[in-house]
Amino acid sequence: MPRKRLWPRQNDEFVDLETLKILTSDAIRRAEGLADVGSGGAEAAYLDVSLLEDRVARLTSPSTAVGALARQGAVGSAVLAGATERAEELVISYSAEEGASEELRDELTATLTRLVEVRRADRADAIRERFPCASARYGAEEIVRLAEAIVCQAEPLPIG
Amino acid sequence: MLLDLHRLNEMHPLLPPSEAAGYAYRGALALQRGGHAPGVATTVDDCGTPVGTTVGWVGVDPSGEGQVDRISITEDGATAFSLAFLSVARGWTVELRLQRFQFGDWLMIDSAGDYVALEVSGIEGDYLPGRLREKLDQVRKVPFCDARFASVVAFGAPQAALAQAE
Repeated sequence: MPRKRLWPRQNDEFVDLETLKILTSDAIRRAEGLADVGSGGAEAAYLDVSLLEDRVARLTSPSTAVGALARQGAVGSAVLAGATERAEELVISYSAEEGASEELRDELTATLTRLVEVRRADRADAIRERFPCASARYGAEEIVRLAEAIVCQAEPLPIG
Repeated sequence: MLLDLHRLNEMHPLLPPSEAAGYAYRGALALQRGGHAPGVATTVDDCGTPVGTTVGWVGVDPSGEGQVDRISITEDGATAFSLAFLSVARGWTVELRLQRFQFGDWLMIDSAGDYVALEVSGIEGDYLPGRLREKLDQVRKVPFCDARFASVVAFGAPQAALAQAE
């Protein structure tokens, strides 16, 4: 007898739009609460938010306020989850959709750019606080750039 | 006009039930902390028109105040009050929670079916007109909506004001 999957991997009909909106509201509150107390779980929580906002986006037109704001929410929360690559992919995918306005495309790009900058500045502040000597010598922004380059190339050396 | 904070979930079905209960609880704490009792009369400045309201809630044990931070009590209390008022006075309902980087707290749908962005702020003491201006400047940045509003609730009097960003 075939085993029944308890949680369907991909099933847009599994959860209706109204339920998704409730789940999204709940997830946002949780992610922001975890971020406020400096929890290490905040990034994972923001990834949940991004996934849920994307589900809302897939069920709504980009020309509606709900659809457009859900798309912006999916992109922004992906950045806050530390999943910049996912955020970039979402911007490309949403911008290519039929019905995506110029305003939506501009707003998605602006959100991505703004939040990447905010996140980079936050990281630099954290490095300045934790490693004051290294920051004074090399510059906190340069250390952040180096760390991002290492993560990006997925190898310790060489660094571009 | 009666604003019953414990009916928030009926007023806004898309508000998670546990969240609606939390807002109502913290709204009750904020009002009681201001020295008010259930049935307190308030005036809401609804875009320049004074609207008399009576706020109802189930009294809560004030010792619970020590378990919730002061900012949450004030901000969530203001959310409870504002969402109750907008439902009763204007027939608006919550559609989606917005994230902080989206410059507003809620996307709501009004009685004509238009989408409205709402930013809410709470004040523990007396009303500060400057706060409403700040919040209007903020909510003006929410994209894609038909209209943008800010609501400020002060728990000293209590007193509240709602205004639309041009």
